This record gives sequence, C-alpha cells and structure tokens, in this order.
Amino acid sequence: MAKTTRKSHGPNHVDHYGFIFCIPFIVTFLIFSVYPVVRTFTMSFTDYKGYGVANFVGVANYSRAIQDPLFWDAFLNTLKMWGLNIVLQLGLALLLTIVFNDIKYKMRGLSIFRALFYLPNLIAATSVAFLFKTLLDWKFGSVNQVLLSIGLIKEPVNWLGGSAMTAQAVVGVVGAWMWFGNSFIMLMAGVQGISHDYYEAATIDGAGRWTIFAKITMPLLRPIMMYVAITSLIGGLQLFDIPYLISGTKGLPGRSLYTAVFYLFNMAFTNHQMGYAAAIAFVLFAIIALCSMVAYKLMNRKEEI
Amino acid sequence: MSAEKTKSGIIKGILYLALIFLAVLCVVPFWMMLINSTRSGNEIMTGFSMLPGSSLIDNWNAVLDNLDIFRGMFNSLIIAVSCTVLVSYFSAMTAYGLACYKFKGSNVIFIIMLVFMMVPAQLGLLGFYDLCNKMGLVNSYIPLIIPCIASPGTVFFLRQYILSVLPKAILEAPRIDGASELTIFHRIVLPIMSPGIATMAIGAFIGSWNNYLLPLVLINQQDKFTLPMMIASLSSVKDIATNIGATYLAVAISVVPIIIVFCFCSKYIISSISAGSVKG
Amino acid sequence: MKRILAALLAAAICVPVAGCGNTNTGDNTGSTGGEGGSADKLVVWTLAEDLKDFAAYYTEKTGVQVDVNVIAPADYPTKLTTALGSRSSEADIIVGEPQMLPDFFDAGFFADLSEFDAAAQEKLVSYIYDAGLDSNGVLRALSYQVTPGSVIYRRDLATEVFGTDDPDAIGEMFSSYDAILDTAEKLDAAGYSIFGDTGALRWFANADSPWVKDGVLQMTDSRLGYLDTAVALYQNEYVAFAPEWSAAWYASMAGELPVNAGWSELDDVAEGTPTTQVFAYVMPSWGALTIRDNAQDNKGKFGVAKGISSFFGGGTFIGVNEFSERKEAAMDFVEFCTLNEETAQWWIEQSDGDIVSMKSVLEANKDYENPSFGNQKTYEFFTKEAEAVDYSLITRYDTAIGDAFGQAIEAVQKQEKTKEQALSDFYMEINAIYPEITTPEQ
Repeated sequence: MAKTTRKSHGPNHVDHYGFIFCIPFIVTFLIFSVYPVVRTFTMSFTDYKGYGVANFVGVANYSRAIQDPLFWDAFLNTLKMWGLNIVLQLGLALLLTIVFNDIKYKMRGLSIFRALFYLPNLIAATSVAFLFKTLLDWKFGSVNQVLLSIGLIKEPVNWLGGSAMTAQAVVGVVGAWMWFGNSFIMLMAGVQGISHDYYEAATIDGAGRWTIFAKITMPLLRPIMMYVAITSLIGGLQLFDIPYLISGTKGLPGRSLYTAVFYLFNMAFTNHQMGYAAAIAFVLFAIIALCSMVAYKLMNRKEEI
Repeated sequence: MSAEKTKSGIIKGILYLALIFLAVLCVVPFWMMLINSTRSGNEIMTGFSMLPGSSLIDNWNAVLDNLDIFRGMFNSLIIAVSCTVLVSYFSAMTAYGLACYKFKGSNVIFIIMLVFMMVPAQLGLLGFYDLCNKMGLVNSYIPLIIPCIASPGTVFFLRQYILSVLPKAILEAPRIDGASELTIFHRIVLPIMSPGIATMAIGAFIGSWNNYLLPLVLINQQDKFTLPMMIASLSSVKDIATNIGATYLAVAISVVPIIIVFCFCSKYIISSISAGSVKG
Repeated sequence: MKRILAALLAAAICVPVAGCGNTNTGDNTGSTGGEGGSADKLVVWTLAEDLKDFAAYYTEKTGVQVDVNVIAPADYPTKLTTALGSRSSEADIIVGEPQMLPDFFDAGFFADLSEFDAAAQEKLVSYIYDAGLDSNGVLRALSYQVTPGSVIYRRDLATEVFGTDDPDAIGEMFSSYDAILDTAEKLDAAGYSIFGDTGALRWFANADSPWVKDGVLQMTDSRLGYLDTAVALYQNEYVAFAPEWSAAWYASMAGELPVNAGWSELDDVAEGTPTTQVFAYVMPSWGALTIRDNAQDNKGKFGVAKGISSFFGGGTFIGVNEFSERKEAAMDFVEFCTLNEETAQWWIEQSDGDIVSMKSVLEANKDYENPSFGNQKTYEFFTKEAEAVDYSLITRYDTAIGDAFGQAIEAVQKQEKTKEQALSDFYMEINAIYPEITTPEQ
C-alpha cells in the first residue's frame, strides 16, 4: 500500500485536500463512534449499573473478567462456533472456486449460482434465527421430517435442545450458510485477478490440473483467503445475534450458546452490571486486536513471498 | 476416448447436481417462508408442506390488524435509502482522501478506524443513547442516518479498491487545467469507483434495512417504527399459534424489497469485490 | 477549516428530520405536554398487549389519548434501562414484570405512588401490594391482575387413571415431590406423561425459602428434592419431552403426541407410532388461558388444582416514569387500571377470563362456574391461591439463579455431569454472576 501512495499524488499544495475530504468522516466518527466507546471505557472502571451513581473501582472489573470462568467458557463457545463456521464457509467457497475454474469441465451458470449462493446474506438475523428455529424443531421441524423420511436418521435429533455440540454445530452451520456465498464471490474475484499467463505457461509445461491448483491457484489465493478469514475473525468473535435469537435469549442448552458478547449483553442489561460488562467488552477487544495483529503479520509475510 | 468422455460427462453431471443441491439449500428457506405465510398457525405447528395453504388472506388481515406495515416499510425505506446514499458518497470521499493524498495523520486515521471496528458495538449503545438524548435526537431518524457518514469498514474496502483501480496519472491532466479537487472527485474519481461503491451500497442498504437494536432503543413512536421493530412486536404477542403465519408473512414482506434491490445490483457484485480485496 | 467543521457539526445537529417524511410537527418531543398537570396525551411503554385494551378503554372514558408502545419482552429491560438511564421523559407510564421490578426501583425509574398506598393495601390482593414496594417500603408499581399458579390437569385422564377428577384429590397427588413421582409412575403405567417437560417443576423452586437470604444462597432440601425429582422424571421418561412453548407443547393440549419425538403429522399418528398424552401443566393463571385457547376438542376437560406450594408467575406491574412531565395524568391512568372496581370487572370480560387483583371483584365472581374447566369455580380457586402467595420468598436474583439451576438439572438429566459436579458448577456460576452472594461450598 505504501508503495502505491507514494507516486500517486500531484503537487504537494493539494495534499491538504486529503484531510478536507476526511473531515465529514472524522467529525461524524468522533461524535457517534468514538464518544460512545470512550464513555464505555470510562464506565469499565466503575461499578455503574446502567443508572444512578457510578463509583470508581479501579481495575477491579478487569481482574474479575480475567478470572471469570463463565466469560472464558463463553469465549470458548464463540471460538468453537466461529471455528466450524469459518472452516465450512471457506472450505465450501474454495471448493466452489475450484469447480468453477476447472479448465477441463468448464462449468456454466456462474452468475446464476453466484447470485443464488449470495441470497442467504440478504435476510435479517432475526428472520434467519426464526426460520431455523422452526425448521429444526425437535418434534415438528421439517429438517427432522425430511431426514427421517429418507432414512438418514432413525429417530429425530433434538438439534437445539439436545447436546451442546449439536446446538453449537447448528450455529456454525447457519453462519456458514449465511456467508459462504460472500466468500465464494471474493475468492472468485481473486482467481480472476490471477493472470492467465500463469495458467498458459503451466499448461504448456504439461502440468496437470491438480498441480496447477496446488502450485499456482492456492498460493495466489492465500492473501485473499486471509483477508476473508481476518474480517470474519473480527466479526466472528463478536458473534451475538444468531445464538442470542436462536436460543430464545437464554443461551440454552446448558450455556453452550453463550458467546462472549452475549454474556456481556446479559451482564449489562439483565444483571445490571454495566461497568463489569464494559470491562468484558474491552478484554474481548484486546483479544480481537491481538488476533488480528498476529493474523495481519502472517498475511503480510506470506504476501511478500 | 469416448469412455473418457462419458466419464467426464458423468462427473460434470454430478458436479451440477451438487451445485443445484447447494442452490436449493439457499433458496429453500425463502420458499418455506413464502409457503408458511399462506398457512394457518396450526398447520405450521403440526407439519410442513411444500405447497401453499389457504390462509394467506387471514394472515394478511392479521398483519394489517396488528401493524401498519406499509408505514413501517416506508420508514425503513427512508432510513435505508438515506443511509445508503451517505455511506456511498462519504465513504468514497474519505477513501479517496486517504488513498490519493499524502497528508499528516492519514495513517493514524486509518489505524484508529481499524481499531474501532474491533470494539463490540453492543456496549456503545448506552453512550450512544445518552448522546442522542442530550442532543434531543430521540425519536428522530438522524441518529440512524447521519452516523452512516462514518462507516470504517466501507472506507477500508474502498481505500483498497481505489489503490487498485484508479490510475493516478488520470488526475494530473484536470489538475493542470485548473479543475478543483472536488470537481475531480465528482467527475473522474466517483465514476471510476462506482462498481466498488455499488457493492458496498448493497451491503449498506441491507444492513440498514435489517437493523433492529438501535431503532428499538431510539424510536418510541408507533408511527415511526421500522419494519424489523414491527415484526419483533408481532412475534411478541402471547398467542403465537394464531400469529405465526402472520409473522411469516410479515417477514416475507420485509424481504421483498431486499430481493428487488439485489436483483438490480447483483451484477455489480460480480465485478466489484474483486478489485478491492485482491490487493488485500 | 474550523468553519467547515463547525458548519458540519451544526448541520448534523440542527437539520430537521429531513428524511422523516411524516407530518409530525414537534408535538412529540414530549416537552409540550402540560407541566405535571393534565395532559391530552399519555405514552405507555409496555411488554404485553393488555395495556392496549386498557388504553382504549381509558380514552373512551376520559377522552385522554393514550399511545401504547408494545416492546418484545426480551428487549424491554434493554430499552427501559437505556432510555430511562438517560432520564428520558418519553414514556409517562412504564411497566415491569415482578423479577425486573427491584432493579427498576433501585434505578429510580418508577415514581412514588404513596398516595395510592392505603387504597392498594385495602383493595388489592396482598402480594401485589408487596411486589410494588421498593426496598424502603415506598409503593412504586401496581398490577391489575394476579397470576397465581396451579396444576392444570386433564379431568378425563384423571378419572380414567385415578378414578376421580376432584381438584382436592388431584392436589394431593401433586403436594410433594414424592407424591409427584408416585403420580408420574401411575400415569406412565397407563400410557400417559405427567408433564410436558420437567421444567414444570421449576415453579415450586421457591416453595419454602427464598433463593438468597442475607446474602447466602439457600440450597434447601426442597430444592434438592426438585433436582432429584426432575432427574427421575426425565430418566424414567415419565414426561413427554415437550418443553413449554414448543410446537409439541401446544399440540399436547389438544390431544395425542408422538412418544419421544415422533415426526409424522398428527393425523398419521394413529398408525402405529406410540403416542402419549400430557396429563398436567404447571402454569400461572395466564397459562390456564393459553391451554384453554389451544385445547380445541379438549376444551372443558381441564381442571385446576394446587401444587406443592402457592406460587405466581409474571404479571404486568404498572407505574409512572419518574422523569415524566405528565405525572399527575399518568397517576390517574395507573389508578384507573389498577384501583377501579368497574375497570376490573370490565377487564375480566374483555380478557375473557384473566384473574384481576381487586379483592372485591374476585369476591363478586367467586361463584362463577367456568365451563372451560369442567364448571370448576376457578375464580374462587385462584383467589385463594393468590392470597396464599408469600412475596417474601421472591428475590431479584430468581431469574438468573433459576436459569442456572435449570441448566444444572439438565446436565444431570442428560448424564453429562454427576449431581455433585453439577451443583458445584452451579455454585461457581452464581459466584461469577453475583460475586456478592455466598454459596454453600465456599
């Protein structure tokens, strides 16, 4: 990036326009994003309940958060659900990318499929949760009805009320269902950015389809896959609405659908421990920032190879 | 040779079947939603059918009895359209400013933007409400629209996009001709960026259209309710058995505009995301 | 540069609701209403539809317009905390369910209703008055309804299995955890399930002591009995595995249910799939209405009996927003809804059978024989149960602790944890959420 910015500008006397162009953004950002966050930050050092007087308590909330087993459980749940989600989402997207770029089979209908795959992205989380809750109902859900009738299962699976594992898996799969189309589009874009020269050269050299894929496509796709993974990480660790809605706001079964943000949301608005919830928010932020930084470093290193 | 051909034909067939299966998975929930919106609560509770029922009119009446759904749609539309326009214009402007000029602090702005994307938004809620309350903006759409000017994610994406699609030389000629920087942005930069902007616009529209928590907290007057708020209040009615069909119908109605927007813009998605993310 | 900045700021703040597109001309910012005096409009924030009817009735009687804003129950605390935490005067009348009230009272959201104190104490069922008192004994909220609980059972099945459908006899069968287990066994032998789900027992969790007393968690024998019984019912498959509010639960009210989750449509059930019927539901009085409304052909076959203890659940408590600019008018509305005999009688009819909180009106309806419940005198029954509710057993921690305990029980039922493990995890959980509570094993 630094490379591109260097040469691009006109004479120095117009450079302050860059700042002028940013002013609307900066002003709005300061008022509507920075101010609330800074307020939350100051809250995290108090025993604020969401009302009334807030007493300064130092870093007590932070030390409590770090020792809070429920918070770490919730964080672990988040990781599990996001992990399954990202594996499925990226895996499926990659598979589709391979299929649509195969030089032998030359699959058609890319634009139609791409549009259809993107569809799940369009519905609000509230509606998605509502739909899947109904579809996955233990006794009357259509999913069990279909699976039973084709003989895949012998008795109905209690998807959302049974074990922690199935419930978490459902959230992971629903997430993947919502987002794989988006990832697929990004990966396709990445492949199309790969120059055809590479492929031609490789084909002339007699490389097979798999060799081409492993030696050319994959390495060139890596940065974009990292990009998708990182943005998904930032969003995924803040996973909230689907588990919240799909479990009827309680995080059942067990505490398996409690995510970190779910936990802090309940802490803030149900248990009225706003100050503590704020501290959790910033612990979570620190983790996300750290992960993103590590991932970003990794991404940059790979890119330079 | 011909055996080889049949074999590849079969594989191709299987691949198509798999693709179609996947596509069906993506479409089925929409289909079920439509079907269920024509069925009665009892029918929905006790089984599933791929064919429409006969309760569409009852459900429709139930929706209209409980909600002013067109008002809600109109409200949501106003917010979503305004928001989309602001996101598109100002994000492009900011991204251009960050990408194509060298000024002190541009990196700082960029980094702060990224950092704030990582703070869980749910907790900003309290501060955000407090702010709106002090500024007298409760029950107004301003807090739902104006903040769209600053959407870091979009700026982040468009900045990458500009770097890859905008030939810098193109800016020199008009500058020498004495065109103002704003004119250059309007006349030259915006058109070149439009595919990237369109992608982000779709996302912004959908995001704003589906937004629930913020309007819920800020809007108190029934005549200003947005569509998701109305749907939520419908499903909060105690006796869901009688209202579940109506809820499906309301959800279906709320998805329609999105589908329309999507149909018009889906082409842009194709060309779009590419350029921005390739250079990731 | 500064000028641009200032201009933008000004624009952002001052632009009228440009996109708004409707015709409001500022009368809705709340400030134009009379200063604490009479008003021509009131705003209600509530989480149940009921108050819509009350509002319409109030408008009919007084001409004062009342806007009712119904908010989904799960979102209500978020909305109220956010808005009133910033001292918003948007709403004039606010509500709360009992478990939310202590926090709302502490927060100072509910205005002082002391002027109704004497009337409320005299006219209303006592637990309603107790629930409306804050920690200093100041009255802050009142309810138009009572929500006493009961065991709602199938009279036809009772006659078949036990040879009687008499509420007192059935009550005896639900009078202790041992009795319940015994009853469940008999029902199972006859091919029926005692409850939809073991969650039904949770209503008796406060039978003999509050969850928290003097900062200490009370793990009483009764609560351990609840745990053991719930586990036994589950593992012996004495329940139908149809949790409250699930589709199966609704369906169970009207008839047969596939055993352990069959799948076919109800019509096909007859062909071979083993089925069961749910014998009883433990629900507050509004649950009885839900059952009645979903009973279809079973309507009239239900009866209500007393369970292990007299309890109540939910209920909408009305109060006045401390920051309202129309407090006087709002008070009048609260009085109209909760302390007016005529309104109470109207509500019984309007709601088609809700149980009101006004003692005199309950008394007047005492002899009503309810055809939906086999001509049982339901008002008499519920009045007695409501009067037996001991509000001192209720704490602000009940929801969170109850949920956590339910999860502990679930883990034991599914054999994911031993009882000891589950209990110690439960204590740990309570410590994490409420560090101020001492748990037994500390």
